[in-house]
Amino acid sequence: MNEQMLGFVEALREANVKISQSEVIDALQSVGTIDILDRHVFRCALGATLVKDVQNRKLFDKLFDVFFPAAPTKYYQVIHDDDEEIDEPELSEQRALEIRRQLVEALINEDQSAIKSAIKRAVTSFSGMENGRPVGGVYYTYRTLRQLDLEAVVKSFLSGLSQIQKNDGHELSSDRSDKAIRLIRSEVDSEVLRRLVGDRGSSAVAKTLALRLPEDIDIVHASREEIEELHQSMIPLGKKLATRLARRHLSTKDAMLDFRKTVREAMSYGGTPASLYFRKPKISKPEIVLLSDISGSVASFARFTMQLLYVMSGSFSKMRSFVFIDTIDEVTGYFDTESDINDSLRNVTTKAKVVGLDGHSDYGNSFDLFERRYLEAVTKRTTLIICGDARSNYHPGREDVLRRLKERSRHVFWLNPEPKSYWNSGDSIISIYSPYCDGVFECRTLRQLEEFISNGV
Amino acid sequence: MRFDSISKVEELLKSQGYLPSKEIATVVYLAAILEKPVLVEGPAGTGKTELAKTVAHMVAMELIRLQCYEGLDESKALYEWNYRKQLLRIQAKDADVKEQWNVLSEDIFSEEYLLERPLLRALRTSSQCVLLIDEVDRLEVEAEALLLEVLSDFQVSIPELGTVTSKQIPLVFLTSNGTRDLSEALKRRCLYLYLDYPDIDRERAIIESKVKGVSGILAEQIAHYVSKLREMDLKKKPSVSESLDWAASLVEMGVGALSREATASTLNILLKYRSDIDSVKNVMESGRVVFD
Repeated sequence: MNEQMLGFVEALREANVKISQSEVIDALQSVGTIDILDRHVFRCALGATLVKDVQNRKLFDKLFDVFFPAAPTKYYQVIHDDDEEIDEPELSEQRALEIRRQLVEALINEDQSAIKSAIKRAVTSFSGMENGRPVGGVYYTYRTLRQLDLEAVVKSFLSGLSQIQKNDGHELSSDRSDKAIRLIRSEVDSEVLRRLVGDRGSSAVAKTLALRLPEDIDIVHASREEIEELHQSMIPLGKKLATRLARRHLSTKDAMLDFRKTVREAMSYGGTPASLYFRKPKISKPEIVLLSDISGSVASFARFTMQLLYVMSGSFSKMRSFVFIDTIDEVTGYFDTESDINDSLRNVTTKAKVVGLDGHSDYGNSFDLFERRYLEAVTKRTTLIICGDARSNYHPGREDVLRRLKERSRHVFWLNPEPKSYWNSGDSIISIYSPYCDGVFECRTLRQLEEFISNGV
Repeated sequence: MRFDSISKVEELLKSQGYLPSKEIATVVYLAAILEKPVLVEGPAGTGKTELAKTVAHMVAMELIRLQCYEGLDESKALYEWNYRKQLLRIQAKDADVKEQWNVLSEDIFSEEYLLERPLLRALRTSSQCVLLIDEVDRLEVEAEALLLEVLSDFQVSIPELGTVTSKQIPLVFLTSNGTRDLSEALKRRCLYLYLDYPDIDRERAIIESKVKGVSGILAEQIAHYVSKLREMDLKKKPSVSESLDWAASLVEMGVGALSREATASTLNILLKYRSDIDSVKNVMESGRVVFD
């Protein structure tokens, strides 16, 4: 038990969740006081003692399932439970029909245990799982879902529902089918996971899952689900950063002495300055001008940067944004405070005129056009942020423009979503721009973006 | 103070009209056994403060509350010397100050001149109490350090008096709206409880228990509708307290079941921003949120 706990903690730490020694002790202590056979209570107790950030909860839950699965995991036990042999291929279509029917029935009756046993059968028959095969769980999940044919299941589920008139009006059929799909997916996932754990042990499975916190996801290569997860963590992150910036402005450390007030107050103590008064420091909010490359390779990164900066736009006195591929266009207008940020981002990708010639990134031309059209946007108070991989498809770089922009502005920062080791390889010309920047940062994850904003801007 | 079991905690909370999830009950149970503070985090209006109040009530303990705000310091949170009284004392002895200074200085820094603030009071009351430290996230990072000694060792060091250790270990609840990250040091000392918006069943149960005269159908509809709203991208999502207000108003208006008109005319109880109300109305007109 203790060993399993420590393995669990180790896996959490591996994924960048900070857990101190004293918290581990708390967890072990709390486990001693509860009924650990009640899995839900056990999960709550570990959650309360180990994970103190709600953003980490999802990861905690996934790993918890790996280390403390709901049912016996040993492969032979599973097979024995189901009393089934792996099928001959010819039989499988017939079996699939049967399993599908069983699943649909269970879904209609909302019978959790029947759903589970149907899923169990499905995984046994379809996943083709074998002991000791070094294949990731995703593969088995995929095989199972494909042969189960989700669409057919949902279709007959819905028609079954309408037959018995169970639709009580609160939920639309699309909600119901979404819910059913989500349920089936997660059940298959956890069943596959459970068997993998039985086969290879928790720690090994945890490693192959390579779970990451949203902050550590590589934005450019994120899967669709990961992107969604990132979007969800965007707003709290923006708020957090905004308060952090505000606090920095408010810090009284470098406040000036308010001489007049101090002396006046001192008169009531007979001239002794009993307490000192300070002037509130002037808050200087930076003006941001954002230039983002939105060509295919880095588009998702640009979107996140824009979104994050707009969530915290209250922290800046002014913000203008421009997007480019081979021509540049201003998109500030799409981001008025009233409209939904996702609509704004969609407008940016569909309406901005950024393709002039061939639709390949051309930094030189875009900078040149920026200087000619929008130079008035850059003043001595401006912080210029450029997002892009500096892959200019062998077009001239026009670093002279950037030099002039640097002279006009307060700071120039470059955020590059490529790993540092790729910089300056191929058509990447980041090195010719970097002398004219106050900082060039590798920015592949939200964590790095967060660091940049809280230190840089 | 210890509870017999987790289900006992659940029962007690329920008897006070607070419907706990299993998680809430577990954390409260653990907090009492491990003698650790609980950090309750979550969006506004999900019953964080209410939880502490209810716990105090159900175990019949005194509730001592420290409301945090920017600029809260030692003298408001821990203790302060009663300067005026000290001054008076010194002046009263004016005649032969010099001889008696030693005696005097010991005297004016004694209990009599100490003003207790909530944290110190929580430690010094003779019977166990519940200490609620509300909205810790409003404290500045530096002021957080004030809490550390109290929360880990349940003691306070007063330079002139020495260390005051607690006579009993209070049950401590800290609440936070999560507007900023609290320091690792603080989090490490606490058990963590995240109070999210309740799921539909729990919200329905809460509405039924808190709003008099609400019908089962209406409560169910409200719970569904509000949970739908929370899925939308709103500036301020409706909290539990707002859905309770809404339920109460609908009952007052004699609405037995939600209708489009009744909803549209009372949206301003649930939503507090013009733009939120507009966007929900738009969605309703396009027919995406449908009732029966």
